[in-house]
Amino acid sequence: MPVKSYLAFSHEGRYPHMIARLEQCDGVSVYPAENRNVAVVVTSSDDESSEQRVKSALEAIVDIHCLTLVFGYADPAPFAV
Amino acid sequence: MVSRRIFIKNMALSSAVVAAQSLLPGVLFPSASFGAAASGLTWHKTPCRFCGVGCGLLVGIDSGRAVAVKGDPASAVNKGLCCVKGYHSVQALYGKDRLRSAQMRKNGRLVDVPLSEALDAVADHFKKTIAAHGKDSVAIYGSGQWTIPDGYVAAKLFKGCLGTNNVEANARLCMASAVTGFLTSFGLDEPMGCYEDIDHADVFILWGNNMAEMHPVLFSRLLERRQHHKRTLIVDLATRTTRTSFAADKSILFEPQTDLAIANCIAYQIIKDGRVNRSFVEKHVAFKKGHTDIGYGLEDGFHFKDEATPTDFAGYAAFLEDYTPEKVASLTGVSAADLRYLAALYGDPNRKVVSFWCMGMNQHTRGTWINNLVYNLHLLVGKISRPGNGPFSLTGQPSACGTVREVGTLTHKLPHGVVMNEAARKKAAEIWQVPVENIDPKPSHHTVSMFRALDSGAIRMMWIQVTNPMVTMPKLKRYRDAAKKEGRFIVVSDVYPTPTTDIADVVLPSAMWIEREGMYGNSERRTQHFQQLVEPPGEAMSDTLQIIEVARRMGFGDKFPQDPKTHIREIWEEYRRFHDGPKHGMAPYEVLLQRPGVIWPFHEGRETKWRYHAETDPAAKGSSFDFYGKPDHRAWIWARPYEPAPEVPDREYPFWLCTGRVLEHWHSGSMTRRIPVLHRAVPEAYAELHPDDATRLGVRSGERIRLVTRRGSLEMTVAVDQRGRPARGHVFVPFFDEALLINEVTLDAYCPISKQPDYKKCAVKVERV
Repeated sequence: MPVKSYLAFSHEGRYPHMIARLEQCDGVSVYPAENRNVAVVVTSSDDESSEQRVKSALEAIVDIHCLTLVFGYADPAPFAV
Repeated sequence: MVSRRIFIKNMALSSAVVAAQSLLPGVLFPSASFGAAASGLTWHKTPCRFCGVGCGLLVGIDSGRAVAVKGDPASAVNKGLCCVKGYHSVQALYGKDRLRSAQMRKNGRLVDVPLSEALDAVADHFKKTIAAHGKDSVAIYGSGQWTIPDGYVAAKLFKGCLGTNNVEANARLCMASAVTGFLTSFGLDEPMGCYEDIDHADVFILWGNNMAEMHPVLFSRLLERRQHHKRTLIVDLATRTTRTSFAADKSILFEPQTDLAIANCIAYQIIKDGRVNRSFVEKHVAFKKGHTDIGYGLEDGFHFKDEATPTDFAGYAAFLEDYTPEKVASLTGVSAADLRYLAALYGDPNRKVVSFWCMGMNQHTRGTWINNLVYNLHLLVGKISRPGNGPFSLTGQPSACGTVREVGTLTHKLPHGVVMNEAARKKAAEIWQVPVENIDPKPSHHTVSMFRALDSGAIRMMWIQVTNPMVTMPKLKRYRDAAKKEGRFIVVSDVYPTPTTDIADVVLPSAMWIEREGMYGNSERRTQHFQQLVEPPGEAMSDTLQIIEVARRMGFGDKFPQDPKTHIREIWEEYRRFHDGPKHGMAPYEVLLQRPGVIWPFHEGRETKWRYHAETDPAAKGSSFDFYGKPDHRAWIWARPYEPAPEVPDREYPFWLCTGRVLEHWHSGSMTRRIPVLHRAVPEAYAELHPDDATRLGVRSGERIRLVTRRGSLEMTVAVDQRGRPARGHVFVPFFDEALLINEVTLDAYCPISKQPDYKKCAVKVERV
């Protein structure tokens, strides 16, 4: 159950476009600031493979200037014997 | 019930919001964002429990437990931001060793007893002590962390019913010089401006005030102002290099106590440069001088009374001739160029200037004087009482202003006026419904004197609430020994065991902050109400109700008839009667309920953000400034000289010792040391040394040294360049650590006018262990 949060900053003049594209991504919740061009992005996936798909979708958004990871959680891997 | 996934998502969201607020001070996110992720929580407004900034918080409650905190975007104080203490504040409710039961000392040990038995014992002991030794043998020592109702019922019981002025509060140790400074210069207490000044000012001069750690949310507002207003300058004027110095545009270090000379030098240079606002000064200022060589309060029974003697502008200018930049540079260690630079900033008619200060100026044996001298600068240039222009004394505790200064929980004070004033006594007697003869017209003991009276036996019984004097009193050993003497009886109301509960005969478990209803008043005259949000543990009871219960047991039930369900509203409405009118009107209870704080004077439905100017203050007469606190409607400029500290470094004790606080801990640490993340961040006190001194002594960070003063000695760990850097020949030690009590070695000298001790200066020897 990977859960991550990021701060997303857009390229100059691309903030509304960045927000619009983020909101179209599956598994992504977007919380735009009220008074600054910055958004909190929270991703939540069922497993590592779906997490990878979310990550790829975020990387494909060209309006994002900087995506900074703030918080990351993943279930501990099973202990191998 | 919050699912695990939602809980983790909420943590992820909160972490990102905190990170965003650190990067971009003032950034706001819609409240709905939080609600969506944390659907199990309900959010409620409250002021923060800790410092005097008075940040508005939203506390998340889940299943009767406070589980989350965020800044209240609707609060004009912090605009959604919090500091690290605020974000973790609710954890202070849930320490494992919370006091849940009353305790009484039996056969030398504190043992649990029912609360009713303890309250009976307190009331009984008060009656017996008064019968045996008189009304002035009992005292109450409270706090700037008392809620307004706590302080009000304490003053009413002790001053109105018992007839003793033995009422003091720990704000004497942190804010008294600000009070006497305001009273002597303006005739009325508390700042004329408000935090909104930050949004209008061009220059911030910080006088001995490490805002980055002590008032971090306000400091972030200064940084935000600078980010968006390129002319902004922040000047840190201090005796130690701190995080504030690093963030400032200019850092100026000065020798301890010489701020008096610096302020006079700035005034000298303003006059010399022709920057005096002559029209303002002629219309709105009077010139005074007082006594000099006024002592330091070190002797038991010390007494001093100042007197104002008129002088004029020419006399004042002549007095300042001793403070030329060249003369002052050699005394202070500040270059003449920097002194002229400061004068140029204050004197520039095109720059708005705010001066901030807190303990550096107030914990000072000439604390009243240095407050006066900074007011002088603003008055000379007319930069006062207008948006972005003003002197601003910050407070350290959440209700030092609201409870101690406004309610008047000091020996000489009443909720309106002073005990020496007959009209004020009559008004109090009428509202309290007690005979006016009950209210003693003579002040008794200020805080240091009160503990000295405990030592001498003049005071036999003391009730201590919401404060920890066995960590915070200077020259601590004397006063701890006093409290433990035969025939003394100490009652302590607190939320955790502390060194003060260790010396108690009775311990009463207190309900803390949002475990009860109350109000705090912050630095900018803002009163903030909070509801009870969670149940207190065990038999814990609010300090207000503890006092009421004792009062009723002592036979004063008719003076305290409040219903437990509505008692805070009833007390507030009774208290408001003291402050009716445009000069100090307080908001009705219903208004406090609705808003994230209300600035007084609250008159005809409006807050007064800037006092003493007709455009913003309904009490001001005429069309411009009116300093109506003084009978002549003028603010007073005082000629106050530089005088040295009572104990200065010498051959035997060659270092200055300065004590203070750190960002992560609240004062004596009894709450923040029980918050794991804060405790881990700064687990114990340390001694900061300058790197050159550390090298000379042959010690490095983490190694041990011994600090020795004429009062005692203490061993602790050295810290070099880890947070702050003292000047060469200086040592800095924070006081939050009850295991390393730095006040064992401090000096109990105080300002003879304010009676506030100086924790910032004494002489110390440093030895390698």
